[in-house]
Amino acid sequence: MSSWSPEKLLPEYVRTFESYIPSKPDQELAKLYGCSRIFRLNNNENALGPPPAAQEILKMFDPRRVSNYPSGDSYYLRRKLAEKYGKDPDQFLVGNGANEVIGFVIKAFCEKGNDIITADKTFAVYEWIAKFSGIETRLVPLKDFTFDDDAILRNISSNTKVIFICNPNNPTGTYWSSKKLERFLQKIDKRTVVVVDEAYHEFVEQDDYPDGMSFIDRYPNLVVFRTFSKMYGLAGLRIGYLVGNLKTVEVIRKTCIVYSVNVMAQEAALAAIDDDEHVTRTCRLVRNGKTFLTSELRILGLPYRCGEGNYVMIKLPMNDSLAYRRLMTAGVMVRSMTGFRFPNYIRVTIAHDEAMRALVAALSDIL
Amino acid sequence: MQSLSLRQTRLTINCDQKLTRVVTSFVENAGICFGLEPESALDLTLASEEIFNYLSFTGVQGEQLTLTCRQGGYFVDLEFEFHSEEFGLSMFNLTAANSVENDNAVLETGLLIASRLVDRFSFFRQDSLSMLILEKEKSYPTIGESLEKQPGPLKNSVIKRPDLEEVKLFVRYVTQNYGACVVPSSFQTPGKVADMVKYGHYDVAIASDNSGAIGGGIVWSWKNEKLVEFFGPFVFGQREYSTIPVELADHMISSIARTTAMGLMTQSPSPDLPTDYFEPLGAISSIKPGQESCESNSYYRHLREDPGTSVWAHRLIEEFLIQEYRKHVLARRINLVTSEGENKSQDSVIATELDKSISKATLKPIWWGHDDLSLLHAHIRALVQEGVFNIFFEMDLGRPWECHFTTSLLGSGFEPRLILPYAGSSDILIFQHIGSAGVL
Repeated sequence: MSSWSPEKLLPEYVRTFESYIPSKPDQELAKLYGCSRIFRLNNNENALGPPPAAQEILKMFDPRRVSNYPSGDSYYLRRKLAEKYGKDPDQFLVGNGANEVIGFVIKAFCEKGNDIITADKTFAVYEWIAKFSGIETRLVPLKDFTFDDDAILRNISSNTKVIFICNPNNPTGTYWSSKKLERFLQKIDKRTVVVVDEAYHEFVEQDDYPDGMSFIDRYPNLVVFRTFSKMYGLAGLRIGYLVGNLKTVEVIRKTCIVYSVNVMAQEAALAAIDDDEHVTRTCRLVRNGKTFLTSELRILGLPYRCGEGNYVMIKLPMNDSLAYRRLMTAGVMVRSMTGFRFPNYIRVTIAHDEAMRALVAALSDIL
Repeated sequence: MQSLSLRQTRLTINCDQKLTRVVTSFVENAGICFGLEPESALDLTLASEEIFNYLSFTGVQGEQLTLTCRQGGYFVDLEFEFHSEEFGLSMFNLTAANSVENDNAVLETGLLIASRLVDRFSFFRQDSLSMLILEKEKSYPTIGESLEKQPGPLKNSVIKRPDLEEVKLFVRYVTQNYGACVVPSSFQTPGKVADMVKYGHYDVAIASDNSGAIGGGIVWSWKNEKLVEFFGPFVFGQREYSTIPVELADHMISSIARTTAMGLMTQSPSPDLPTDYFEPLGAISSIKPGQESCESNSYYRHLREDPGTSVWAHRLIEEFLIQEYRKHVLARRINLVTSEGENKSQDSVIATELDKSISKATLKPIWWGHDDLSLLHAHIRALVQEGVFNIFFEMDLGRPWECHFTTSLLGSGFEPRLILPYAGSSDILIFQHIGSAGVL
């Protein structure tokens, strides 16, 4: 009589979790919204694509090699990262995008009854992974659009295992200075693991912005995340990494999924990492794009938050998901911010001039 | 909001009339254990007896059936799960009449009695498995006449989740300050609202200051796993340009932003609604007996980037849907239903939700058959005789069979009025009966 219902077998924290539904492919969206082309300004991808050397690797890749497993622990890439940043290769763990390494850390340190702390209005994946792993998330409200260090310290309990700081914060673009980060780490006094997610590290040009890796020797509870998805334009290959103290990384390695990073991603990342010229070109494009966009937004009378990173957050006098749909009909895809708990805001990626002009024209039409 | 875990109990039993007392004893005891007063538990028990009796004499005789009784906080529901394709569901129509023409008619009279003893019912069929769910609500005292002293403008207010005493006080303030058009009917019984909050059927946020004064609030409730309905925001005793309505809306949206909800909707917005947070879906005219007609806008907020979806429709309303979807910039693929000589059921079944305080009835299709036109006419007649002038029909455009009601709806004086995105298995199209109140 009874029918198969897998929900009955699920833990409560999985049953109540909402699966993330990614956007449909561009061609499908173009059909649905009746537009002939789409400017993708929703995912903070690099408009310049990967560095030339990485592109060359991909072009020359021998397809027959995909029948072999990749290096299970990204052996050569870790050695390269160690050489570049003056660390031991075993201080690095490479994952299938930075999202995967978030999971490594939570699984390594948290069990039922523990919690993590992060901000209420930041990158959602820390909260998601904790939730579907049955771990509570304590959300601390941003203060002036910035992670609130004092409030985070007040929220630490004996069950708190990991604190996630997004620096610079996605989507507000605010950041903690070196001084503020150091003060925070001192006050934590090794009570918890502190993750500083530096996904947008290479875009920041401010002198007081910290290089999280430089604190690792003094603060063994600090773990830094970096990615090849943003500045290095390898989002489609999914590759990111974490770096920390040797002992810390050794325990995180227990929950690390080996062989999850494909061979093309490892080799493209290896080729990309030394291209400083690519970083300079991208930063110039972002700087110019921000200057153009913010000037146009002022003319349109739209408030905005333009901080670090290759994105700008814009406040609209309407529901952001309605704005998303209307902008899509003009072929401009943005990120609506309700999911980031910023109702009526959108976040746009800074891209080429043509895309920025299309965005401004479309915004002007929908207001 | 975190809900209390609710209890349930289950009985699997052979469908044999000799076991009727086992069933009635199970239902009565479970009903009382789960919070019903003896009178309400007895109603549910009598309903279960009639249904068990009917099933014992019809297709389920000798087969096993499962009864599940669940605590709902402010109600108890009872689910019958059985294998039968012959269930006399048409007796659950508001318009069903008593008849003793033959043995089967006598049995169906029992179903008619059962349907009138409970507050709501729903019916699902998957392959040959049928599920009939009856709901019986607890009784609560209605709101008293005494007026609460109005709070003054708040200083340094914060938005917070109220405790249950604050919920009841908030409900009193709302009913004192706002008309029936914008206040949910449940607010006539503050104790019921407190139970609905306690058991997770409602979420509430209030604006309060250090002294504990309440200056406003907002209430929301999950219609299904994808759509949240809200009431408010309500504000009392505050200055004209108070930021409280926006803070309440912000709080509610942030609370559900990372949940399964795809949309947020109100069909009875308060005058304090910050409209730039929402999309107007359209207006519906309604009247209360002895009053002027009033027009209320429905507002919606999509909570995500819409990936688009498909809907089913009858060709007679295709053009209306195209226009509406274009107006609201909703990406939809419209598939047309057809009738190509295939068999259809004899009887239609329609569930009726009544809210007499605002003279409103909402019809929801349960089953479609070839008597749909006469059944709709009968419902309209019965409702108008009851003094219900605002009659709506909700069609789930994700269920193709519901679209077969279209011809009869249009033929009996209904008109499509507005679309509620993702309110059902896909969008819901609301029809309103034109002329039952002579107001449109």
